[in-house]
Amino acid sequence: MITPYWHTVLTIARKDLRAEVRGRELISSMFLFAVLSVLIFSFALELDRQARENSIAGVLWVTIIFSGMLGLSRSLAVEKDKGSLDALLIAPVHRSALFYGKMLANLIFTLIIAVLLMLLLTILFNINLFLGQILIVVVLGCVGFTAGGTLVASMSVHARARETLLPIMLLPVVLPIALSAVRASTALLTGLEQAEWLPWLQMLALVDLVFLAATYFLFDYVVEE
Amino acid sequence: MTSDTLNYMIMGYGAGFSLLALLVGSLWLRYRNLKADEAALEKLERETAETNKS
Amino acid sequence: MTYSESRNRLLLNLTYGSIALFIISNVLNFTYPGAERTMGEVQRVFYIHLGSFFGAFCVFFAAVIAGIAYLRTRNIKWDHLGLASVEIGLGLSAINIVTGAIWARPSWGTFWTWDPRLTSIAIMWLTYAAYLFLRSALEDPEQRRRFAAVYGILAFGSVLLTIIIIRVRPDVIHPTVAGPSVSSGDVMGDFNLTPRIGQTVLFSIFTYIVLSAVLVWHRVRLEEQTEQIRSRKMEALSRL
Repeated sequence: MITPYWHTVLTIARKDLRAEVRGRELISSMFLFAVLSVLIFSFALELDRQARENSIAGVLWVTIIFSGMLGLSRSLAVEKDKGSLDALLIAPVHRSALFYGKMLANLIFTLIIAVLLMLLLTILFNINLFLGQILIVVVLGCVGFTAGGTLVASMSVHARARETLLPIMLLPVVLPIALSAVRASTALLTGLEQAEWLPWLQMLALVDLVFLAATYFLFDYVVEE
Repeated sequence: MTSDTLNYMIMGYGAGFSLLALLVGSLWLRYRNLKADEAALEKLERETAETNKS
Repeated sequence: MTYSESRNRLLLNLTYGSIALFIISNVLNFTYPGAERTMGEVQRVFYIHLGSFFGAFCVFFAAVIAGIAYLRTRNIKWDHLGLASVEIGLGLSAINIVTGAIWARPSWGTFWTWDPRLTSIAIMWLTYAAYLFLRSALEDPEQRRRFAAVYGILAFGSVLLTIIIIRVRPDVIHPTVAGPSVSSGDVMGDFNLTPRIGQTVLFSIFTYIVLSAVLVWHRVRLEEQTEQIRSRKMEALSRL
């Protein structure tokens, strides 16, 4: 049953997705950036199989994070510059619904880029990334990244130097997620036993929960007028 | 591990104290600048009061 | 709002008290416990290292309280507390990181390594540095205070990360001196915790916590006075 709350969440997400399908601005710039990064990494890291296995997770996550930040700043800048945020704020729904709607849209964009990246890296690095547990890691990582990222970006968008401020604020916040995701993926790829990657996976899930809870309470204070 | 780590100990305490001194020093310096600002401000206030009176 | 006579005196006495504690603590560091068996004199750096970490922890926690209190009451004094706490906390954790690196050189052979605890303390430091950057990037004062409060609360997560990561990750070479840990045999630089060393550590931690509180109070006072001067300046310029 879809309550008004979830209806708002889905409407906002759908609005962003529809705008994207029409304009395709966000996904294309994120994807282009991602492809270029991966190419640069491929050239820079001419490695043997062992070294490639160790570094591919790092390459994947660095690229997801940087192209994700591009998407985040664009997605929230549009909202602020057009003033559409104010219109949304009038809705008689808990403010967090707006947040989760935005976050959902950003999550979908980030996941699309992540999957495309995994495809690209699988081909270029010759290592199969499409293992079950790695997909779980990618999903969890993207959830945490988008949760923290949407909150932080909704603050940084108000600053004059918003493009510089977002990475500075966001990178330390998402580092626990990046760290856990990279360690978990690398352990899985190099075939280590469960005790090696499970703690990182648990850490990821924990950080995700913490972020989702924190953002629920804090978003109200960010968008008040 | 050797037991001749005296030099490192001196380095450690030196660094610790220096950083602490920097921290306290920055507070003190800002306080001094503030006091100078206040003096200039009082001068400005006095002059404005005089010109407004006349 | 200028400080009353009694408040100023209290601060002054506390300042003298903290200086005295600091001197006593350092004298103790060198005289009370003997030189440590396995690593020699450099172990004494540990007293600064631990003390500054606990000091930083307390002030960063104060920043969380200040953030929550500001968001609920919108009283500017909470914002002052938050800012002061983060600044002092950055200084203290810098002391923590540097003394740690100096201690590490003879213990592990290197100043730095990317073991989980060091990585998370670096993240912590950068997160709070970003807090200061955020403040400087926002022009509207009300917005600045509000966002700073939110970010100050979020940033504490990095402190928690530093503390729990040593319990969770087995491949840590930083020694856990107190409490449970799952570290494997990789830990290097563990030392023998005699009762005397333990007491000196506790005293050092106490000293640093008092010192941090006094420093934060001075910084808060500085901020309040700066605000006063600023508003007087506005008034004077408007009357020109």
